[in-house]
Amino acid sequence: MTWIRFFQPLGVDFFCLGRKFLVYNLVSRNLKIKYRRSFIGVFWTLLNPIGMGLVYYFVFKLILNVQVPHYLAFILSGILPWVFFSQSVMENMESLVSNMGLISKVPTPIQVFPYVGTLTNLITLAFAVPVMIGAALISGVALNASLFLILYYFVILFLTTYGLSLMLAIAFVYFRDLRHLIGIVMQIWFYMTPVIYAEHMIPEKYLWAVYLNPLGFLFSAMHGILAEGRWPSLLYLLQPAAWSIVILLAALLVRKYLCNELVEQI
Amino acid sequence: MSRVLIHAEKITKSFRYWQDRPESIKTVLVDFLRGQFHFGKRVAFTALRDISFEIREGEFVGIMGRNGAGKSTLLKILAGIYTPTSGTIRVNGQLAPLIELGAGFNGELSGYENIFLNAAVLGFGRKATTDAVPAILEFAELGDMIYMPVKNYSSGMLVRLGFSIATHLLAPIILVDEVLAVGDAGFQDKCIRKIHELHQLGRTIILVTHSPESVSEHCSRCIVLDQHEVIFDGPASDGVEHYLKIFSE
Repeated sequence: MTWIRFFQPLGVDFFCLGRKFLVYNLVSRNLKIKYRRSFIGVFWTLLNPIGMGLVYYFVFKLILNVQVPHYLAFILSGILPWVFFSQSVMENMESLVSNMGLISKVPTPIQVFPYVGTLTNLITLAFAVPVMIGAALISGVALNASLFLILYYFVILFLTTYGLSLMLAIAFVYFRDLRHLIGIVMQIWFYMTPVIYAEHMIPEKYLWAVYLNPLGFLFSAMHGILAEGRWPSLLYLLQPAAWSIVILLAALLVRKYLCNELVEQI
Repeated sequence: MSRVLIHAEKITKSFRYWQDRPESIKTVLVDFLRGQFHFGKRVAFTALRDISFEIREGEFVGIMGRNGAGKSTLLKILAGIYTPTSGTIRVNGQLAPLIELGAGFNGELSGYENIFLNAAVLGFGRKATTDAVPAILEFAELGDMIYMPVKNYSSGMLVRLGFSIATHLLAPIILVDEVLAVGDAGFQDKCIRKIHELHQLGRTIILVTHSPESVSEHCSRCIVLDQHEVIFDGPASDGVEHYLKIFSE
């Protein structure tokens, strides 16, 4: 039953279940440092994507007059999760290198750092949910019980973000050029994902790009739930989940086989 | 005979690094256009060769050796930071590495908050940490300063807190690097007495040091490393002699 032994770390080791106290303390450290001595605290972090959302609303709705109903709810339901994703990936990528003082002095499972980084941002994203729902209510979207699926999509988004972050954090130890490269990739990825535009606006011959995009259907479904009150179909439920599993497995392989002497390399 | 806590068998550790590695893509391209393609070569450096020993419960072992003999590498292997290139190491029981005091301390947080952060980083759980807090506070002698951000601490206060945390969490094995070199004489004295006391209470201590005095005074056994190998493993007083002999040769 060797295959069971291979998947075992997926639960315990990979999600740092043996080090819950460490994860708890690091997340609380991150939150405290980020928001200590700031008056409105976590809302600063939300203000930035909300500001971006308003700018897109102005440009696309008021100037270009895009034909998407409830555009403010639409844009916020996309931009807030996207900022979670891109910010987490960019921050976590450097997490191993920036914590090298710790990693080389105390035995620490390296995946703790991208994991904690993603968790910290996930907590901020949780505060974004009332904002997204509020925008939908103000725009007059007929919301329904599909709202609970936001939870499902956040779990998937978390897994995808964590898997990708871990792989990039390991790669970053060897290739520091990645900082610039990934910055560009994230830009391209942003415009290739239905975040600020709707999936139905994409010409049919380019639709394959959304199908291949690990986040394409996820954002499309978020739009549907929060801007139209529409239940996602089975395909929209399964494609993002399948991608997140693929990415996690890839991260598990990278973790297992490519970082034997990582501490020595940092 | 007491239980074997650490079992090291034929540990070899070599580091590989690149030599003559091109520094940028430009260099690679220029070389390529000139018709020569080189990517540097990997050079191995052996820091430890064929190290075997056992450490039993309740021992106080000193590890000595010249600079570059491989002490730090051995310590990092014992702590589980490095994995040996070949050979096996088995550690039974939790180990508190005092390689760096206050690992993971964050300047913005208070001393009190940092106790929990540091303990978590060292691998302890919530219960073990909470139980140890009163003793940690007492030994660190920080008074109300414990609620101030540690960025306002003097280096002496930082060391006091770090040492107090690492020694009051109940780890059966304590690994001490030359951390005792910091702090004033009074505190150094207090630290070595504390370590001695922990040994009396039945903990296993591994002390890496350059000081023959501390080894002959406190240790029951001494391992001397030279040229990446163990040249002596036995009673502390003989170990010190072997250590001093290295320099007279």
